[in-house]
Amino acid sequence: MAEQHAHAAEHADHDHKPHGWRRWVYATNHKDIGTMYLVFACTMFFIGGAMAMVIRLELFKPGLQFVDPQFFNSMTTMHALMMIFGAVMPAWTGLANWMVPLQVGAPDMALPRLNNFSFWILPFAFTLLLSSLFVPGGAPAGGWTMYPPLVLQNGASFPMLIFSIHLMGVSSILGAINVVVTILNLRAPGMSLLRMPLFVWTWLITAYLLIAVMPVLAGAVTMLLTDHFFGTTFFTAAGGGDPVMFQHIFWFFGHPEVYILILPAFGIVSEIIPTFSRKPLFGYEAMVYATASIAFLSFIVWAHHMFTVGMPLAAELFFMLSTMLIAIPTGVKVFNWTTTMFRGSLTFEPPMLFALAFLFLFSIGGFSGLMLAIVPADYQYQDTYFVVAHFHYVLVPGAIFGIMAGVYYWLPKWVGNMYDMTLAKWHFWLSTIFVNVLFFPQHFLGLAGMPRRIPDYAVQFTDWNMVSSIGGFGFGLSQLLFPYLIWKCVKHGEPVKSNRVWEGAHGLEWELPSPAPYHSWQEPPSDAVIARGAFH
Amino acid sequence: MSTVLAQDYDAEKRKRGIRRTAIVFGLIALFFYVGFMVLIVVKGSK
Repeated sequence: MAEQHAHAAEHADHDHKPHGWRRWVYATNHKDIGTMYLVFACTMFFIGGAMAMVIRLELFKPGLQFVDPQFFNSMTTMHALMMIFGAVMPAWTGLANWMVPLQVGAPDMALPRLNNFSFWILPFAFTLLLSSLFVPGGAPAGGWTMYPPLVLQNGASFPMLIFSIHLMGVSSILGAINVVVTILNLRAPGMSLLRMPLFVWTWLITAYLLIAVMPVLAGAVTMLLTDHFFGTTFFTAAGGGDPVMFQHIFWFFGHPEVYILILPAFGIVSEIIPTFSRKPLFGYEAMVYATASIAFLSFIVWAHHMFTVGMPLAAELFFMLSTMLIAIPTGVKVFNWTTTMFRGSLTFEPPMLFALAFLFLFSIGGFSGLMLAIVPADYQYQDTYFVVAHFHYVLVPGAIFGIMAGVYYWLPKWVGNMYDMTLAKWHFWLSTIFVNVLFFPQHFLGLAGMPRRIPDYAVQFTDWNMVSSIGGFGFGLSQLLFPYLIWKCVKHGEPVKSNRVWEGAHGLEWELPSPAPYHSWQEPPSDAVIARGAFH
Repeated sequence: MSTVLAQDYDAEKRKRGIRRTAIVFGLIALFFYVGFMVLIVVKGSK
């Protein structure tokens, strides 16, 4: 059945494929839209990365060297916004667009035109945000958290920031609705929920989170807008408003947002480790329930971001303990991945290398998160470089390595060519070494008391800042290998010979030819094919 | 003929399901957007 389908699909591939700019501007094909998301995310990754280089350059030595403090603050703010909303979230949506229909046996996303709209909002949103660098007063500089009253002091960039955040929110919500609708309505007959690959499961849960929390962020920034322009005082103490309320609302969005950035990586790692261990995933159902538990807990831990703001002792205890509870489902995942590898026939191709680095380094970020969850300790760590080290361990070797692992895993299926393995391994080793050189010393700096979001620092912090900056430049430069490697793979890669690119791979996407045909699963896969793909 | 009708019926059913799910989740998003603003107004006016 699958072979017949594959054969038919190969022929169908030549039909109805638009050409030229219309293919992209009017795109409704999930693969085209997925590709656009990924290219967009990669572009934003390098722009956000360039901003990080400015930050590390300025912090290489104490004293003000290259940029003025206002511009430095703009760089930290814009770097965060670009990386979170421009790089990581669109990259996940791109991967979801490419893989969810292939993995559930659907011909496309359920709402293809909405899909096109969701994507094309983004270039406008980020052009608007980036153009704020050129308006009087400069780009937003009050931090990505946009706390009032500081954010209300921004100049002309303030409405640009708010409008671009609204646009990003609309794009994310529409994208998430599309994913949920596709998974709930377009699964092939026989693809029950507990047969779905973990990447689809984690994305389904991520989409629920997005639908619940992106509107909360939109509501909060709408109120900031009315405070600034229409005389309301939601968050202005002088008029009876409460600036701390904004922080509560923001982190009610902000903490689930962290899981929005990381849960799909859990899904990808859960696909890759069984493939390169040549064993089924240990505890599939436990993984699903652990993901759902993490998502649920993410809604009741937000105030751990604000322990020092001031709250009743009972609330501090509640948020401390609920935060620590997250370690349980996360531990279930880490142990299940480890047990999957136990006595497996392991090989270490680039996707597996990135997945293993994810496992070790994300755990470091998790442990420092537990340290930050302890209220009295947090009073010492808050607003220091320890926090910066913590969340960068979660987001760089966590989310970014998860995306890299996914791209290295599925790239041969997308383009039909194998990439340069040696170069990919260079990319992996350089990234892994430099990411640790970059972020590990920041733990020491934070514990020694260096505050975050400052362009200058006391001289005793010099040595570790120099090390960190060298790591930053190394990490930044080594990322240039990634687009080169993809370009080389597309143009000159050796064609892959089989549908199942990796020996141990299971799942519906590996039943399709490589490259995956432009129109796939026009006929739903048979039950036997689905059963063969469900490797758990 | 009956097979075609059955397929049409399935397609129609699926289309209805898609529309319904999209509307439900769109309304949930709208509820969270408006709900949190109302919450703040109510809390602020106490």
